[in-house]
Order: sequence, then C-alpha cells, then structure tokens
Amino acid sequence: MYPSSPDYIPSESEESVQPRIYTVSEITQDIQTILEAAFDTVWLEGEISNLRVAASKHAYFVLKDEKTQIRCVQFRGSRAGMKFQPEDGDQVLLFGRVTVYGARGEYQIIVETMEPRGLGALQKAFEQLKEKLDKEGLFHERHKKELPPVPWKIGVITSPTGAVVRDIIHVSRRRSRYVSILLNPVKVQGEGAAEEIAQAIVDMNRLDDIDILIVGRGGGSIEDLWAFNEEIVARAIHASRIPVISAVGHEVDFTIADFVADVRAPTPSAAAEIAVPLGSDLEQRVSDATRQMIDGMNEVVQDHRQTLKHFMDRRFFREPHRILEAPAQRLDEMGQRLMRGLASWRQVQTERLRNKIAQLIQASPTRLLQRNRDKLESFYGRLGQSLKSKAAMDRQRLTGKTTQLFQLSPGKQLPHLEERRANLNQKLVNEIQQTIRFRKESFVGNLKNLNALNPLAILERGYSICKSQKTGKALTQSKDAQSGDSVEIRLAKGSLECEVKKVKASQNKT
Amino acid sequence: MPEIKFETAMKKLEKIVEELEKGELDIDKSLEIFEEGIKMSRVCSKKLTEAEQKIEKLTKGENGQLVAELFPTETDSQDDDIPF
Repeated sequence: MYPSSPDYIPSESEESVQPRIYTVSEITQDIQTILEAAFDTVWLEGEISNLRVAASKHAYFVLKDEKTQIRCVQFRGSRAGMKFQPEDGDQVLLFGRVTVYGARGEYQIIVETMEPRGLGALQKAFEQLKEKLDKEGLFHERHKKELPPVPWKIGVITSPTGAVVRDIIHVSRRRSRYVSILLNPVKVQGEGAAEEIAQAIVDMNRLDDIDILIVGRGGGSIEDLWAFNEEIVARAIHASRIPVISAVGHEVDFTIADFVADVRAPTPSAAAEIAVPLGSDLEQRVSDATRQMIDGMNEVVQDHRQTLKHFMDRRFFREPHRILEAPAQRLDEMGQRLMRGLASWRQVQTERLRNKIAQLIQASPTRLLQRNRDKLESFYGRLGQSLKSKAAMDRQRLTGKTTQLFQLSPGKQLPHLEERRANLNQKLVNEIQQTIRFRKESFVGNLKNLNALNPLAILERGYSICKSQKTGKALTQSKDAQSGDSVEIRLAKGSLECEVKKVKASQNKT
Repeated sequence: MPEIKFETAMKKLEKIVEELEKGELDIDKSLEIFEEGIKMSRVCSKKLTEAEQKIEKLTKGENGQLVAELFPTETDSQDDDIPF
C-alpha cells in the first residue's frame, strides 16, 4: 500500500487519521460475512406474524417475542416437507441461518425447518395431519382389520421399561396361559421415537407368527405422546399386515395412531384385555363342543337303534317263514308251468323228428328204387290189361262172325269158311303176336332210352372217356393234352392207359 | 399334513355338533363326522396344551436379523400379584 522506506514508520494515529471508507455494498458485504459466519446455524423460538406466502410458494413472516421481531423467509424447497402449516400467532421453533438481504439492508432468518411449539401449535399440527390422512382415507372403516379370535402370539411395541409392558404382560397372563408376548422395545418419546416405532411395526410384520400388534405407551403430556401423532407412525400402522391395537396414554388421549389403528384401546391394559381371549373360554368351548358332539352322536345311535327296533318288530321278522309263503306258491306254479311247457315242447320236437325221418325215408335210394319198380309194375299191369281187353274184343268179334257164318251157310260154305276161319285165325294170331312184339319193342326201346341217360350206358355203345392222368379230369378238347401226356381211357368194361402221340387241333371251331 | 389352526378346528367341531344334532345323517356319515369331530377336539386340546406362554423381547442379531430372546419381567416370580 505504502512504499516501504526506512525513514517512514506509520503510526497508530496516522492510521486513524485515514479512516476506511466503505461503500454501502462493501459494508453490507462485510456485515453479511460476519453475521453469516457467526449465526450459521441457529435455533430460534418465537411467535409467527405477518405470514405471507408468495406466488412463488416462498413464505415470508416475522418472528417475534414480547419485545422484538425478526424477518424470516422459508423457501419453497424446505416448506415442502413440513409436517404442519404455520399460521399467524403460532408459537414455533425454527432452525435456520442468519443472512443479510442486501437490497433492503436487512438481516433475516432463512428457515430450514420449523416445529410447532406449545399446545396451540401442536393441536394445530395434529388437526392438520388428521385432516390430511382422513382425506386420503387412512381412517376408513374398510381398512379396519378384524382381530383374530384366538391369537397365540401378540407383538408389543412400547418402551421396555415402565408400567405399560408390565401391564400388558400381567393382563395377558391373568387372562390366558396360551398367549405369548413378543416385545419390540422402542423409544416412545423424544428425538427419533416416531421413526423407531414405525420401524418396529415394519420389523414385526416380517415375522410370520404374530397375530396382533399392540402399539402404545403410558400417559403423558401432548408433547410426550407426540411420536404417536407423527405421519410416519400413522403410515406404518396403515401398512401393517398384522392387525394393530393402539394403546396410547389414558382414555382421554386421542392420537393419530388411534385413528389409523384397527382397534383403539383406551389404555395399554385394555389393549391386552381386547387382544387376549380368556383361556378358560377356549377350554370351555372345546370341552362343550366335544361333549355336545358325543351327546349328538349318542342320540344318532339311539335314533337308529330305535328305527332298527321298529323294523325288527315287524311281523315278517317275528315270523320269517311267512315271507316264504308267497314265493313258494309262485315257485310251485312256475314248476307246473315248466313241466307243461316241457311236455309240449317234447311233443313238438318228436313231431318234427318224425317228419324228418319220413322225409329221409322218402328220399332214400331204396324208396327211389321201389318207386321205379312200382312204376314199372304198373306199366306191365296196364300193358297186360290192354292186351287182355284187345283179345277179348277180338274174340267177341270172332264169335260174332262165327255165328253169322253158321247162320248164313252152315253146309256148303263150311270148307271155305273153315279155310277162311283158319286164315282169319292165323291172321289173328299174327296180329296179336305183332302187337305183342310191337309193344315189347317199344317197351325195350323205352328201357334203352332210360339206359342211354346213364353215362356208362353210353360207353356200352362204344364211346369212351379220356381222362388226363395229371389232373384227373375228363378231356373234352385236344388242346387240354400234350403229346407225351398219359391219359386213361375208360371203356364200358375196364380201361386203357395210353400215351398221347400227337395233338390235333379241332377242325370246326366252336 | 398341514397344520390345522385352532379356530378352524373349533369351527369344524362346532359344525359337526350342529350336523349331529340335526340328526339327518345316516349312521355311516354320522360316524365319519363324529370321528372327524373327535380328531378336531384333540387338535384343539393339543393346541391349548402346547401353547405355553412365553414372554420374549425382540433384538437385532449380528447380521441385523430379528432375534427373540426371553424377556425377564418382575412379574415372573409373582404371577398372582399386581405389583403396581
């Protein structure tokens, strides 16, 4: 700043003679530096007034006590996480830092967090959270879970020391020896209490044998109970899979936890009363039901025994042979019908058999032969008859003529007549003989014709049958044989074994 | 066999009582449900006998897992008195 020289020594007085002249900005800057360094973090308590929220969502207000006031600003970012919305007149505890707003040369507090202070403000925070959660539906009946009627293990979230846990254990033991208790020890007031309670609810839900949760603490001031008014606890209770009984403070104390819980107990002891069913009731229920069931079963057996007895009293059980009477009668009748049926069946069958035998006899070769013989006999008979009648007729005629002859000329014509008679007689004999011969020939001819139908008879006439040795069939055309083949020629009497010399084709093709 | 819950067994038992008391079932069916009822009755009694009250305290194990340990209370020795 100054040229350094051995003869110039600046003195104190000289410096004060030349005072530092700041610009407004410079001094503001210095003040800002000093203030901000000195009041980097401050806790500040006071009453809010002139609260104003700008369009930018930053909040501006004055914090005051009986004598003084200080300007405060809370920016949008830190307002977002606020658990309550302050209003003029609220007593609050601020956390923030001091800064200088150069444009107006004013110092102010930049607020980071704000907590309600005093009964009024806490009450307000309570109302606001309650309204918010209510709007979200967290208190709605449809979220209320039923308590299991027979719990075996109850989770208790409270302080490990103090009367509450002992009350709950005591009541539980008094009521039932079947219910176990698992304590999850937590801080129930002060810094971090709400977080611990919420975490304990989450942890208990990770266990799978807890039937009911009791969350609570003993009585105290609204500040003491405050953890149970925190949103984080409300949300944890709401999210719990296990039904939750809230048991905070005394009967008159209502907390947000009470509204979210599935059941609100006025006190921790009452919570245990609600949760734990009387062991004696359980025993009673089991033994009652068992006894009733046995009674019921006995009654069923009695009923059936009675029914059975009724049946056994029926007549056919007393006189069982009676049952058989009707069937026996029927059986008899059936037997008779069977015999009748059998007899008529036999008759029919016999008749059928007889017919068959008759048919068979009719068709037998002996019968056929007999029939032919009969036919032949009747033929002979007819023939003889006809011959006799012819002879008789002729003889009658002869007698007639002879008579005529004797009447006409018995004397002179006698030799002539005698001759004529001999002639006629001879003629007659000839005629008769011829007739007989003719008839005989025709009969023999008939016989021959009959004979001609017999294949063997044909052979009699000089025909023969040529059979192939190979196939055993009769040959009907030459091409069925080959030269060298052996053939058998069947004659009327005996046969010849021959060999084909040559095959000649048929000349007239048919 | 999956474990039957006390309350389920109890409900079954009560239903069986009802059925038997109605008396509409034939003897075979009655016997069948009666046997079932006796079984349920035993399940209930067994559950009650087995369930022994324990008082435990939840702590975090070394790996952060949840561990339950017995929680001694003053009432342990003086069950029948109310000490406060």
